[in-house]
Amino acid sequence: MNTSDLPWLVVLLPLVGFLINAFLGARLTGSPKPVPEAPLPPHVSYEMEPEEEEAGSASDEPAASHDGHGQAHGPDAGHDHDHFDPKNKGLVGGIATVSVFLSFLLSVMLFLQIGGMAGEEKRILTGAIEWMAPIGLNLQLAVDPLSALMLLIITGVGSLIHLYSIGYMGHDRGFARYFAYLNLFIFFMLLLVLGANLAMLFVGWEGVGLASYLLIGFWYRRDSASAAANKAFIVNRIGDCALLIALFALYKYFGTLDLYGAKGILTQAGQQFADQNGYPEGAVNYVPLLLFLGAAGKSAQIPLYTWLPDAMEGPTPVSALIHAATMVTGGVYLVCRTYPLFLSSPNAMTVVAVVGLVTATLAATIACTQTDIKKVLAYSTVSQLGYMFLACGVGAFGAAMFHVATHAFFKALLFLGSGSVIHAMGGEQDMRKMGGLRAKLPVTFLTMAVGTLAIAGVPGLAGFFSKDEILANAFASEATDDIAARFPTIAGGLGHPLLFIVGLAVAGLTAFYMGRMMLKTFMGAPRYDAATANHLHESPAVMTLPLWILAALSLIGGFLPIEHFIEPSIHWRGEALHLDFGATKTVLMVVSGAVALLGLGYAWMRFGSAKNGEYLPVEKKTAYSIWWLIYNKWLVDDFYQDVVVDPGRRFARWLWRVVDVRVTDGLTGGWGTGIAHLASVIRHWQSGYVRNYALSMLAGVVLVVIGALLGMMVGRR
Amino acid sequence: MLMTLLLILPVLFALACGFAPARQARSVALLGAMVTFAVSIFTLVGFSGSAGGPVYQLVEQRPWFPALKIGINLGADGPGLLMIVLTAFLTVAVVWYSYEKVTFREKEYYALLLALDATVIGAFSALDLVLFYIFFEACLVPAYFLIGIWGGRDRVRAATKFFVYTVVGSLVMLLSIIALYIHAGTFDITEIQDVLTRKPLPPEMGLFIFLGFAVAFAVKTGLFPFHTWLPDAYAEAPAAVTVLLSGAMAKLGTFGFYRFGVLLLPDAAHTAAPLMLTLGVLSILFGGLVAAMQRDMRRVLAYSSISHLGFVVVGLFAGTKPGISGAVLQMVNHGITSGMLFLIAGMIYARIGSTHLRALGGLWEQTPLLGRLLLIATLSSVGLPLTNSFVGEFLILLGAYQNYPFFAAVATTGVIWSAIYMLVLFRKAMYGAPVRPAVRRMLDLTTNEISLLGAFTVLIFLLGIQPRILLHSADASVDAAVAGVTEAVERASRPPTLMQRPRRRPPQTEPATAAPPATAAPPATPSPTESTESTETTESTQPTQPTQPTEGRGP
Repeated sequence: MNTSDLPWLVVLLPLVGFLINAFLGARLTGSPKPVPEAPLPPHVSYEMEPEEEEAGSASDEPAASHDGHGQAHGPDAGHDHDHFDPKNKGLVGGIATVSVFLSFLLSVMLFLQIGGMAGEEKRILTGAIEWMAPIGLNLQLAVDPLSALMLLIITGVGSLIHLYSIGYMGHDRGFARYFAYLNLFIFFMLLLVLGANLAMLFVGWEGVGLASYLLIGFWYRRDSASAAANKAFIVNRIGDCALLIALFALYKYFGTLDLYGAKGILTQAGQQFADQNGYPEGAVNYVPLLLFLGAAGKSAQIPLYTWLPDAMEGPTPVSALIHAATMVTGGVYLVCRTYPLFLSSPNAMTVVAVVGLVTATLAATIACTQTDIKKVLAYSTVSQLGYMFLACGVGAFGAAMFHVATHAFFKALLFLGSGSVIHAMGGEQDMRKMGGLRAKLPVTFLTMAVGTLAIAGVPGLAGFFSKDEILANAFASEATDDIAARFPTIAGGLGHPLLFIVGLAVAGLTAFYMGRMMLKTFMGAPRYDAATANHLHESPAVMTLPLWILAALSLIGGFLPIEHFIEPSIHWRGEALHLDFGATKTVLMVVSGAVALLGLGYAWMRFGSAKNGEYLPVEKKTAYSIWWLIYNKWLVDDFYQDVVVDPGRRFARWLWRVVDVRVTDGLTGGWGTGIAHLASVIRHWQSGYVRNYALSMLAGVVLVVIGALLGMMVGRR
Repeated sequence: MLMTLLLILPVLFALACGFAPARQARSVALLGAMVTFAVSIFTLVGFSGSAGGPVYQLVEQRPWFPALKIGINLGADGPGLLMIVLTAFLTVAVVWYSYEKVTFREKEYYALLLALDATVIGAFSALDLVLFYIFFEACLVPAYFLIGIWGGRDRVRAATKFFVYTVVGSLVMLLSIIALYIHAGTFDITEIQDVLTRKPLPPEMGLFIFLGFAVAFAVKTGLFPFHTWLPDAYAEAPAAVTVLLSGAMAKLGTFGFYRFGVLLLPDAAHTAAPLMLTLGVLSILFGGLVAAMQRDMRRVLAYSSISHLGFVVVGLFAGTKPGISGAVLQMVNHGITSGMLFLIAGMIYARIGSTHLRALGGLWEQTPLLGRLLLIATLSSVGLPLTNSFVGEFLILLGAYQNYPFFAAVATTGVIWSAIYMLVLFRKAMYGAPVRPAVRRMLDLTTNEISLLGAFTVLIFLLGIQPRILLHSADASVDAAVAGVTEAVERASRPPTLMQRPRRRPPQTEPATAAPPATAAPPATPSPTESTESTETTESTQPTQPTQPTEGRGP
């Protein structure tokens, strides 16, 4: 095997794991087969009672958005109910984990190989396999610093989460199915970041959507889970549709979808070719905007973020891997991947920055009011992703990817920690029923505390550095001369103090809601019942080991030279992209560090001493309309339901009932009866008299001759 | 010889079914379908459709009515051969499927299935307009009886609607065929193609001829708003027949658009492209939205079929290589995907007597294998990458975007609608706990069924990853079509010369060729189908009708 085909191996290993567990897993774990009740005699059939079609529709579709948060939310660890002990757990989970871990080792090799490359073009292209000949599209992989970094995150964090899952899913009937899905996810995620053309990227893009769909709906018996799965897939499809259109437009103007190669989209030659071909002004703007809409779907940004909080219906390690560390950063990756297209359009850049910031703010406020521990983390993820887009929007792509990396560490840690809590609590996710868990779950507490400090941006930890980088760039960024020369429209720089101020406020909110979450969960008096108290236990080593490793990474992640490493990717036509800012950076660092501490301190003030973990009694809370509004997620879900979903459904029903059945079918039905009527008239002509037949034949001949003459005349004209 | 063999084999085996003992009929039919499929594969392997080669190959010409230049001309281009292989494959699948499920009047059932196979293959391989028309109509007859006898509760109404609707649609095509004959003086398609390049049709004449064809094909395809017969027919027909209707017979429509629209009349196809694209896009949107509202699995699939074939039409009239290649590919893909989906629906129906979504629920747990296979078919239907449909849809939409960005963009929203209706279907049928008594008694797939659906699964992924297997065999034909349309675009962009050309032509042989049509009409309009409405336009047909083949009265 050629060394340049190593990336194929990286991708295919998890696929092999998937295939093994998909075909053999159920047998290995000894999952009970469904036993059909007494079979029917062959011809007895269950005819449905005549169904009232209309009545069903309202209840048919329990809108995922409407499952309130107040009530105890079905147990996350739904598996704890029917105690099932899968056989060969070590083997099944081991195959899955090892396949990803091997992938990780190979990724490290690739990473070092890339890092050791000299010169400007740090990339490895694999051999190409013909795929769609009419547009010259091949199956091909490419590794460059940007994708090498993603590789490490995906396979590294991925194998930790696989390991953790062996413990977490240890009593689930779907143990093998779970690991099959998880491997499938890794396979597609690797395709996403390794695709050498945008179509391959799209394969991974949709594929991770599929894996996410399957894992959100993993506990398929639960209605809310399958509803959330559908919602995630469909909302993502809206983004995918935009992404597809962007790809078609790119093909139209660039004549290829390849990233590299002779006329690749990212290469100078490609750009020149497009310019000569008349890359119109409109497309310069709408292509990046469409790409961003696609990214907004996958990365849960306004207007398509609503699926992510619902996606918490999946098992918690899934939330950690897919809905925090890797898949949802796919959108950020896409924007960074295609950054020359974005830099060409200041309008698009502004949209990206503003949408990112608004999403960050909105989600952070919602996170302050949630009572479900996973929902807090989910909104926190949306908020952090908003930060990353803010960075992209001001041209700080390196800072965005830096934050992707550090966020993967601490958010995976926090989710896995919350999973450990939920596991210990027997499936309880409501923080109002927790409290005082510090003593019972010391490891979980300690590691999660590290994660909290990291995400809050306490100086010295991972989150501080990456967030600070983003904020500083948001404050002011000046394009270097090179960049200014390449992209004259952004020569004036992209940052704005206003972006910085709002971003800083969000940082404060982040520190506050994370502090709130930790305090409500681990401090104060216990609020759980006696049964739960008996059940409480620290998680086994297989689960705590990943916590320790991720905590260590959250501690030191800020010192990794990530930005420096990926510079050659975020880099075009030979010059590095530096958006410089002056000595103010130090001041900004101090300010953002102070804000983080302030936020944590305020949370401590409010919740640290509160006996029941509540700052205000519920009655008092609901009196504040703003609290009510935020608690109900700014009513965005309801807005979508009322303005998009319901009218859409009414329209579709109208199409069916009126346009299809009454108009189209009615008209042709009319035709039908008309013909039947005609037939009955004609029947009288078939009287059996040869004379009549002769007459009709004559008439026919005359008609045909007339027709032919008419045809000739038309032809002659 | 191969083409004749492909046509004769199923007929022979259909007759054999008729004479075989009732219990043996199915084995005879399976053998016949398999032999036909094997021959079609053999033909495909030997076929070289690579770019630059001749468009029509394996041409066999036998005179039939030499005076009128009607011949039994058979042959195929790449897309035609692909359709033949698809038809033969689906026939094997449905005979296999029916093996344990059809329990009464087996002889007739299998004979009719093979007859349907033969007539559809005949229509795909006919290189003579009259022959094409005959097969195009003849395939309705076995389909009619298959729906009417073995269908669901509302079978007779559905069968009649299906029959009347499609017959009326194709009558308009007959006028176009006659008009072409008047112009070219022959019914031979290859010859007509030559004549048309030497002596183009006047633009408006060409457009009328095209529209005549278009009505027939739109009905056959089930394009909005010509689709009314389709949901009823698909939902009421037995699963095996639905597979052939949607997988093979509906392709006669899209294939017709390709051969008689894009390939034969590129100027008209170019002129009418906005109209056809509109119909295609409307079908995508309409089919998708209405499918989401359906509560019966088979009706969801029926409307989804409308939506999917809308994509094919969009691709065909995009006028670009990716668009047309994608459309050809998608015709095959749709046959495979919708075939698999309808077969699974049939398996569910065979078990619990209903495919209403409220009769289902919890199948993922109750029948895991069926659940997983339905998942794969669902993913193919929503066009997930690495499945066959993704390649087709991607090429179609990308190709369409190059010339018609607006239509392509609207068509692309189809990926949203398909996700909605298929996932809602999947969730309602599969997820949740198995609570209904019928579901709790349900058995998982048998070995036979697994191997049948397994074959479809393999094809779904094989064609998703290596579509070249099919793409290349269509190259020569698609290239010719693209070249034709490109020239048409050029001609259309310089109208003056276009206006001059027809004026020079009239003194040619038109009066001479005008005489035959009066007599040419009769054999061309057999309407061996019974009934009444044929009298509308084919008054003079009666005398020659006895010479027509026996499709009409046979079964």
